[in-house]
Amino acid sequence: MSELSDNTPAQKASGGLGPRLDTVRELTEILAPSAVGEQTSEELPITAETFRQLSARLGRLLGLAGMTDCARAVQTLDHAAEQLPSDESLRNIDAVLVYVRARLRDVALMESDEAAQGPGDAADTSPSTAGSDDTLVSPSPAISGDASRAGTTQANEGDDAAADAVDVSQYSVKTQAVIRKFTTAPLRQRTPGEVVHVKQRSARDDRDQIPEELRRECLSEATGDLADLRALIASFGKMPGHLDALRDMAQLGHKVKGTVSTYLFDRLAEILLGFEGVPRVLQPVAVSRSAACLSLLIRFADVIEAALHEAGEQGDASEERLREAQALVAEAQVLASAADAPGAGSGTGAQEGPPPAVIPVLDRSIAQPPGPHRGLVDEDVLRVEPRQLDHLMHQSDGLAMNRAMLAQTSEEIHRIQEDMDHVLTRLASLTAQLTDLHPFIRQVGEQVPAGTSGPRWLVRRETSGGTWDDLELDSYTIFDDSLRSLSEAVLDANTLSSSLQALIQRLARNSDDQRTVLHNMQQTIIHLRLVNLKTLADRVMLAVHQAAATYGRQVEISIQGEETEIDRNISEALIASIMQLVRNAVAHGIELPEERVAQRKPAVGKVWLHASYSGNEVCIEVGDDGRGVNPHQLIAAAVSEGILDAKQADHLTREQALALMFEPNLSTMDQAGVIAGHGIGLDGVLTSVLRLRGSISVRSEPRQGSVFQIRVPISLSIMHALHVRVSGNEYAIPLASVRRMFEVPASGILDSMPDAEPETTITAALYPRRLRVSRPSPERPLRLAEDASAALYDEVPVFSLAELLNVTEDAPKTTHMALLIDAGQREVAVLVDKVLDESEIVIRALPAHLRRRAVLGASIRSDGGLFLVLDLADLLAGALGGMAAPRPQPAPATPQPRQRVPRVLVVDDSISMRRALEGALTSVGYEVRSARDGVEALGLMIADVPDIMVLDIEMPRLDGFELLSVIRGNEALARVPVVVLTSRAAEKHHRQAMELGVRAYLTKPCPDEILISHLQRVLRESQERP
Amino acid sequence: MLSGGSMTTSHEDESIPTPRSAGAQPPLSLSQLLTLARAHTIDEQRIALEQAHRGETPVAPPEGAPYLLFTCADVACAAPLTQFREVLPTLPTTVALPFSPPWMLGFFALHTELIGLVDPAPFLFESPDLATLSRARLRNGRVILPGSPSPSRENWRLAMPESGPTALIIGSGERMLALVVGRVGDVAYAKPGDISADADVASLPRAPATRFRAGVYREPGGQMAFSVLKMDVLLDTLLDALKVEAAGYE
Repeated sequence: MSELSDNTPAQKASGGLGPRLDTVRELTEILAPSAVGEQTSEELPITAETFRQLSARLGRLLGLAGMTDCARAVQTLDHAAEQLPSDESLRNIDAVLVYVRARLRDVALMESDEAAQGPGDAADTSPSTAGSDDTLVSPSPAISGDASRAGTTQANEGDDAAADAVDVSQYSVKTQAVIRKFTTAPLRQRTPGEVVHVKQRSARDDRDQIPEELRRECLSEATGDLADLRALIASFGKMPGHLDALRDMAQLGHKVKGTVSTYLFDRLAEILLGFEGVPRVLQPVAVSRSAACLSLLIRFADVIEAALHEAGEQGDASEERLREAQALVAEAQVLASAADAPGAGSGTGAQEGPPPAVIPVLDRSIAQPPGPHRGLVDEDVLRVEPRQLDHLMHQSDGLAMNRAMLAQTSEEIHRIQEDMDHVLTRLASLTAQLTDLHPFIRQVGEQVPAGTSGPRWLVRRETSGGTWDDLELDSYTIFDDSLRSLSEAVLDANTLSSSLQALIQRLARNSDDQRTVLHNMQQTIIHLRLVNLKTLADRVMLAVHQAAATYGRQVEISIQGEETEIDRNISEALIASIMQLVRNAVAHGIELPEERVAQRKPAVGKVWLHASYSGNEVCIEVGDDGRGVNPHQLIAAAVSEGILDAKQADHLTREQALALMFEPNLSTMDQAGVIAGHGIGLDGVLTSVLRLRGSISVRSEPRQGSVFQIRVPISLSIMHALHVRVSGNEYAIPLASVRRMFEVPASGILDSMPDAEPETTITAALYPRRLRVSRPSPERPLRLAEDASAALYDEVPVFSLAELLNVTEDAPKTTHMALLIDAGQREVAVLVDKVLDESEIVIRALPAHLRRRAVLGASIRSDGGLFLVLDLADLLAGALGGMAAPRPQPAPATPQPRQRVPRVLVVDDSISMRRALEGALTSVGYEVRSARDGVEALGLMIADVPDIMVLDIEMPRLDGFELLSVIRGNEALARVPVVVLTSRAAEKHHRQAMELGVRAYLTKPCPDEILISHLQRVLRESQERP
Repeated sequence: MLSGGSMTTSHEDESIPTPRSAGAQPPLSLSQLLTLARAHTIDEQRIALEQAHRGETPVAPPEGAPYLLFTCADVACAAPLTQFREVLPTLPTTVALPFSPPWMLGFFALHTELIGLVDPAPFLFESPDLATLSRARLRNGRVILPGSPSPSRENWRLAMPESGPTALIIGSGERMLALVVGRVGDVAYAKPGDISADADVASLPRAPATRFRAGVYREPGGQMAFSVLKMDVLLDTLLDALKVEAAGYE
């Protein structure tokens, strides 16, 4: 503990900036870790009186320095001392000291800066003399000059009032709360002479003394600010003359610097200190050297991002990162000084120098974008910690189980009520019988004299004292009593039944309420995890600008669908892939301006990023109008590399040929520069997308450009699943992987493959006879035969899911349901015992020791039961060995531009199905309306006759068959071609539909491209018919 | 020294304190009642509560650490009670996990956690063929454990009257497992000196592997001996084995 003295700097000097600086210096010395005591870590007895003196002295000094907020804060130290050595008390003291130190550092920097600008104060205000501890008061020793000064003079806190009004918003929310607590808390009386023990802190301990969660939150906040910073840089990129963006960048940098310095991320703070001055330095050349300025700012943002990651993982930024920042500050000064050179800064783009040959920092960032980190930074970017979400998810599971119990109770009560009803019926019957017998029995009873022996149940009871005769009071036999009791029992049972009925109704209401709550809770949780793609879009925009400057292209970037939301993890995992595609588009897709002009294209090329929903997926397209890719050259390269033989090459469709770009070992660098490098990194993109359970396809035309389409699920934790039963167990399968399902009799399965190769011979390698698949041809990719009359068909291998999972039962099945699965480049049928239903499920990851291949996780049924979620493609990939390695799906057929957009009426009672169909059909250019059932559909058809209708069969009110019957009787509506899309796969349903004039009969699940191809065919045929 | 007393209804048993002067003591506080509830067997709790009802002095809490007595593959075992998270009343219905060894009997949901159910016997007794020693089988979600002979009067401590095959939950968080056991019995209180070194293991008809054994606990009467298990070692071993299984299918 430093010795306290009343000889304040205020008494040495008077007024002006100097005294305040001196006061700050003295305060800094008092609070320096070395002064607080590094010599021992032993617990020293410190009295509350000592603390009182310290806080009083600090309070006076802080008051003199105009830091009244800090003065109020330190006055609480003696109160904290009274509570020593409690952890809370130590934390409070630490919070005060951290806050005061940070404020002192800011004020010292400002005072030094202002004093340096004042006359005669230069010697006194040298940063090196500002305090004994450089880490507290000296500005960045490495970052100097205008850049650092620009940042340090942003805030004007030169007087008491300004200090009082210090902007606490620059600190994190939690820090603000701590600060407000200490700057507004009333003082309390300490206990004089009380001995307390406090552990002396060392400089090394300072950082450790700050609770980790606060440091974590600080970095999380800074990471969010970095996203805003990138958005500002992107804004600057769009409008270099818009200097507000530069000003906002400086302010944001200042704010972040304040935040991180509060939590003693010293190097990170120095980097940000350097950054906050850069925008002002660049301002004079913002227009004339916009590209260079943009490049520098982007690289600086990358350095800050890297520094944040290091701070999260190592406790602070590295020296290397600091040196990078210093180099960028110097570069900014050089760039700005060029504006002062003769002939510079004329304000035209012609002043731009040649772009740098390489941009190492940006390249590093693009090559290694922030993926899921275990460090402190990225875990909390959503401001909601994942473990909280997991906790919420567990709670929702608990609710599900609770609801299951309620349902079970309800069922039990139902059973009781049924039993009671049965008893009541019997009682009523008995009562009726007894009532009928009553006159006769009574007659017999009256013939028996009172008091004599006879059937006991007929003997009349003696009336009281035997003094009343029969005329005065009815006499009753035991039979009468029994009859009355019986009636009462019936009455009671009726009452009980009514009560039970009410109870059942209440239970049903509770159950419904809980279901609603559960649903809402799950939806809330799911949406908490979703983020929009704006951050991604900002990065893409910056990357395009940067790449264009690097490679000498002129590019116009267009981004649509920034508001599209996607799971945060997927978004982060996609950044690398998207950036790779964008960089490829600019570097290898877009031609040089002179090339484009020679091809009669605009000199400015176009690159676009479009994001949209497609059912339960997000579709992201990255396209360019550049040189495109020639599939023949790709095939030649693949043959040359031994990836394909000539025979295989001959049978490739265009889509399959383009998909060769994703081959890991295919290099086209030697191919005359036409497609040079276009495939670089695309195998990594493919791997990344497949890992997200997504798909990627490419469309390309030479000299017209390329479009890469990535489809990924909106969330990895929710899934539309098909529930199946195998050997008594229930499993869920991602619906997206199922192309079609159909019933297969045992007799329809052949015993073995006729020409099976050893590696393809597997357990139960069987063929369904009835599965017909059209042969692939260059004009027509592999696809299901459209009807049973197809002349050509292929047989596909069949696997038993029970055998794949080793859960076979002894009893053979007479029929199976076959699921046609997309397993990479081939289709495979998987046999299950029964298809139960389809639903949207929430997947829970299994603990690490329970994870298995092909098991995505588990989910909980609405009745509380558990089931596994299987990845059939993965399961089959293992069974098929190397035959079914995951491959990109062929590009979906894109409808040709039409003069008139076909209007499709979708009729389905499933809201998710309607939504999925609307998304799929709208995305390929159809105008879609939808109806929930036949009645609603009929109304829409009468109002506006559609060009085609997609119709479900099973629907409330008016089902599909009934609707078909109705419209066949109407001349106008009968012309509307109908494609049935149903889960009814039986032949009789198919036949009935065809008899009612249906043009195509498809069973769910049906891939979008198959549905679209059928719609196209039916529409084409309808147009050709008179 | 066992201080919890035996599970008997006899009031003459030495381990059960006899009623003292009635009416002289104030009623028990809630905390005293809770102490009693935690520290005694069911019969002792009943007796103590009766004593409390009569205003008698409550019995002193037992000395020593509580150990849960149970059987695994018909072998009497004991382990510190604090190492168990929960004792299930019956074996749970589980979901079979594909690509798992026979001793992995699926998983189930308990208090919103997903927990694997395993038969520890193959590991405890280090069968040369782990697959064959596990007698438990999973059939349509039901775990079937071949019945063990009913406990005789002498080894009552190993089975409550209604006891049958059940599961003990050990570990926490991601490192949580449920172990199939034949029967769960009483809680005994043992001081360190009550647990003998391994030298006594020869007296056991069948003993777990050395690495899982912390010693042998013998009741004061000397009739029953229990292998005291190192549950943390067993948990690590089982989790490692499961992870190896998981990695084998990666």
